[in-house]
Amino acid sequence: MVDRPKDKFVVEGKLVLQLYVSGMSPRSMEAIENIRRLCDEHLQGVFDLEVIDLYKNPEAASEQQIVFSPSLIKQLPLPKKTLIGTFSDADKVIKGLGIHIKE
Amino acid sequence: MKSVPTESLLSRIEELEFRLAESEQLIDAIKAGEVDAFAFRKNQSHEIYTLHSGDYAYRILVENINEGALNLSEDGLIVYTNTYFCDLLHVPYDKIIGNSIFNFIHPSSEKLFKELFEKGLTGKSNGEIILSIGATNIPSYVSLTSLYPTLSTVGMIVTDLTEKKRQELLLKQRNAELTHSKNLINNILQSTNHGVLSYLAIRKQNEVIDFEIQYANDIALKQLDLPAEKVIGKKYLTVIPNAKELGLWDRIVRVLNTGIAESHELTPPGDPIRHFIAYFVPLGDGVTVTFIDITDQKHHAQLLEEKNLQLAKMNEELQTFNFVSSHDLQEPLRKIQLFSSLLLKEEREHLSHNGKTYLDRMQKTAERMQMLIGDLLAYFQIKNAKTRFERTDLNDILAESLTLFEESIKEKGAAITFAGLCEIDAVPFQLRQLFQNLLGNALKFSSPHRQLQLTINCEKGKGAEFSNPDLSPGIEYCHIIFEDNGIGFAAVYNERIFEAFQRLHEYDEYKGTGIGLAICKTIVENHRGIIKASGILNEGARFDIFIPMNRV
Repeated sequence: MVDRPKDKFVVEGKLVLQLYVSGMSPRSMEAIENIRRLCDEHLQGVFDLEVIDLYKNPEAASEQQIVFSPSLIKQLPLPKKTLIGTFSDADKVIKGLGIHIKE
Repeated sequence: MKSVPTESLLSRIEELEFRLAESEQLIDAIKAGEVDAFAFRKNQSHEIYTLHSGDYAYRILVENINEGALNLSEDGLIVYTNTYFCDLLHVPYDKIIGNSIFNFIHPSSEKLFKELFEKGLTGKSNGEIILSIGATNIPSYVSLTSLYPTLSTVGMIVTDLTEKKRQELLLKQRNAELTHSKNLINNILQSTNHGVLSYLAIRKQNEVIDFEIQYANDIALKQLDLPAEKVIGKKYLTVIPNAKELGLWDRIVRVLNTGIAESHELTPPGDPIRHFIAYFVPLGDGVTVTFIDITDQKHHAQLLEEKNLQLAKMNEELQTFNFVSSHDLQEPLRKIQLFSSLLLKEEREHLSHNGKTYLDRMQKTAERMQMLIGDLLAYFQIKNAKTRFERTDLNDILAESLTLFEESIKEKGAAITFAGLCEIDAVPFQLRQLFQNLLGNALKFSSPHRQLQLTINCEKGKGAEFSNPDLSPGIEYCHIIFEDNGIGFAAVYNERIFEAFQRLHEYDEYKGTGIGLAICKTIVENHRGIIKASGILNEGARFDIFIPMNRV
């Protein structure tokens, strides 16, 4: 485990995230760990993280045309944003999702 | 070319940039091999495409297996769990994934699980722990394996032991019950005074050739005069070699075949000879035998038989004796009386003063003897009477008895009152005797200082109503009270007064043989009743008689 700078980002408004994984696949497991860490160490405030396993719950993909695994979807606040990958870089994820942070 | 406003163009560009960024990100991710699978809606169903597809069968197995399957990160985070594990804990997938496995370990198993997890990081480990969620505890068997280097996770398989534990507990309980039952039975069998043996048939081609002695209690062992090791588990014909001779073998086999229990008296050879009664009872494919030593009982029964015979003989002799000899005694007595009175009459002038006195006394003595014999005869007759019970009106009995004493009553000026006399089942002759004796006594033992007042009262009631413990509470009695104001007697004699020949006075003071009240008691007892006396010296006497209204 690499030590990460423990900067906390305060989330503005309600944050609703969905993480799509595919069972025991290596990337899925990595993604879960990374997102978990990201939420614990870097985010403060109100956020809702839902983990969806495509193998367990194929219908959950119906909202989207196509769903990649692993992928992180920010439902709220709008606009909807989708990131694909294992999310090892917390900063990139935050930036990529366009999460508004308070200083 | 149409002219489009700059602002709308700019916002359109922004939008496109935004979407492009997303797509670029996607392509980057795919290129970087960061995508594992994708899913999209195809008509009505959803298709999931896994980019490394060799593991299809493994995936199905793990997802559907009847065990919990998890992947844990180095920190113990649950980065994968199959459905079974979620169902086992009754917690939705959402609440398990991404959480620490340690959240679901019961405090008592924490230390052990930490050890197992440590070992699982580099190798393999397994052990029994308790999972817990809320108030529910789930005993489980876990198996951990390091999946390094393929995956930097620890794989964990969880087996639910709830059912197994439940069965174990049930088994334990059953065993305890069984042991208890065994102990109870053994206790009973050892504490009884019967010898107990149990035999199981040994068959060859379905024929019984011998038995195995499955059980023998201490008394049985003592009787066989063998230790337990030489009996229990051994063959019947070996332990009791003369079983066929004694007829025991036939009995046991018969009981086994017919399925009907038998009991027999046995007298096995031995010194000293002892008698037993044995019960042979079929049980499964065998027989249980219980026996008890009845030697003493037999002996007592025999003695009783002999004594009864002796008694019957004695009674017979006594009957004859008192019938014959009373007659034999009375005849000479009569002669003595006759001749002494003749002497007094005819030879009066020739007799001296002393002579007259002597003769007088001779007569009185003879008279006394006659009374005694008469009373003795009456006593024995009453005792052995073959009686016939009839519905008897006590008023009649009293009237008849009073008639006998008419003169004496007149002479003494006695006042006799009676009330409430009823009808009861009785032997009239005997009741008359009873009343006569009591009346006679009242008159005889009246006080010279005052008029004799004798009251005879009668009442009915159930035994429980009278404060007398000798009465049967449920039986209806007739309670007759003879009460007088004569000379009475000291309360000390309340009981002894009924004994034969118990006289409280000298013969010269009051004539009597001392048998009268003994006869009264016998009569009352013949009627299954009781008689009680209570006297106050110089004041009077009271007799309470209780006789059942109906023949019992």
